[in-house]
Amino acid sequence: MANTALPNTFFGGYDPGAGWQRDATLAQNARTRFLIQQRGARDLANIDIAGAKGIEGLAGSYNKRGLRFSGMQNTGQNEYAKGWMQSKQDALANIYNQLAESSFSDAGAMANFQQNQADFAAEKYQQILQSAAQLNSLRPYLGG
Amino acid sequence: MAYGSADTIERKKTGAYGPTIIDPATGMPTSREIAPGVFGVGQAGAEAQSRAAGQMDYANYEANGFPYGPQSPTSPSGGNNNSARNAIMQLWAFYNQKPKNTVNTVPALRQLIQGIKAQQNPYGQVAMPSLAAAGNPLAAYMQQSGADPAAAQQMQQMLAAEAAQTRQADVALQQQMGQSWKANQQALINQARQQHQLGKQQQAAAQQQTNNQAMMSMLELAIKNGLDLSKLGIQF
Repeated sequence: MANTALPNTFFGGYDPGAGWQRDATLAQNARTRFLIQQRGARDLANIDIAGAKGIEGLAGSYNKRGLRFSGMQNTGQNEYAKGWMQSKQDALANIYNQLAESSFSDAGAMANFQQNQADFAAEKYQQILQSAAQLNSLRPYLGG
Repeated sequence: MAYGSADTIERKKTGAYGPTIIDPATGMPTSREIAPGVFGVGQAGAEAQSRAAGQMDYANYEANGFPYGPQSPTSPSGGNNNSARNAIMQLWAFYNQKPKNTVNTVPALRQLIQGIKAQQNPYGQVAMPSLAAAGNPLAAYMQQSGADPAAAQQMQQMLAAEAAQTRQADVALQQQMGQSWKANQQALINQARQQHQLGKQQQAAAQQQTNNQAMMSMLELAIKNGLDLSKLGIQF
């Protein structure tokens, strides 16, 4: 989770709407992380369960055909293992992608908020500069 | 409006001309201050001379134009309107003074820049997940059955390499985003400094504008009151 602490040197203010948007995004990302880990773990478990069931049947079918320890069984086992691995890798990559995306989204939300904060402060500073110029034009009335 | 008109007389009575200036030489009001017709016919001596002089001045101005406006200077110091002279000298003093009250916006600029610098790089804090590579789930089974696991091992190596590349690419992306963020922060700081410079120029322009207004007021007062600024020691 990104650090959401506000720097307190920004003229003491920021756009509340931007803060809300940041918090909403962070909350949504936290939900995504929770769900993908929960569902991802279940998906991985299901793949392993299905794979383990399938291997029993695979071995049995080679035995029935008298192909036990044959080259065909060897090829078949490798293909089965590769398919199983590919399914697991897809599930792992899905978990990884969603976790990575939510992390980048966290950082993006923070960066957007920081940009908003900086814009807000720059606008305040612009107002300070404008007031300063106006005050200078009133010098005769302010004792020089 | 001609001298001696009803309006002139009325204004004279009500003091609209301001205080009457007495000429020390004659002991009488100066010709400019006397509206012809106020004094009756037959008044002799200094009054008559003063009146005649005033009429001559007026005739001369009508013929040649007013040198400094409707009311000409009558003294070597540049006119006799003390109020206008005082106002001009005050404006001149203001015009020449160095601004003491220039608003110092440096602390605000410093605060703005400190605020930007205090922001932490969000891409430096990204919690990057790890990407595991699936292992061969049949490794033990294949060993038991005497199968050659070469094809499965090759697949496993390929998946591990892909996972490592994916992770590497995402770390590179994270670093690039972090560097981009840093560049943006620096741009914000530069922008704030440019803003500050612009603000200083705005302040200087405001001062210049005020000075210009003071100058215009001085010139206007001088023209209206027939005052020669150079004789008051004023040189722009």
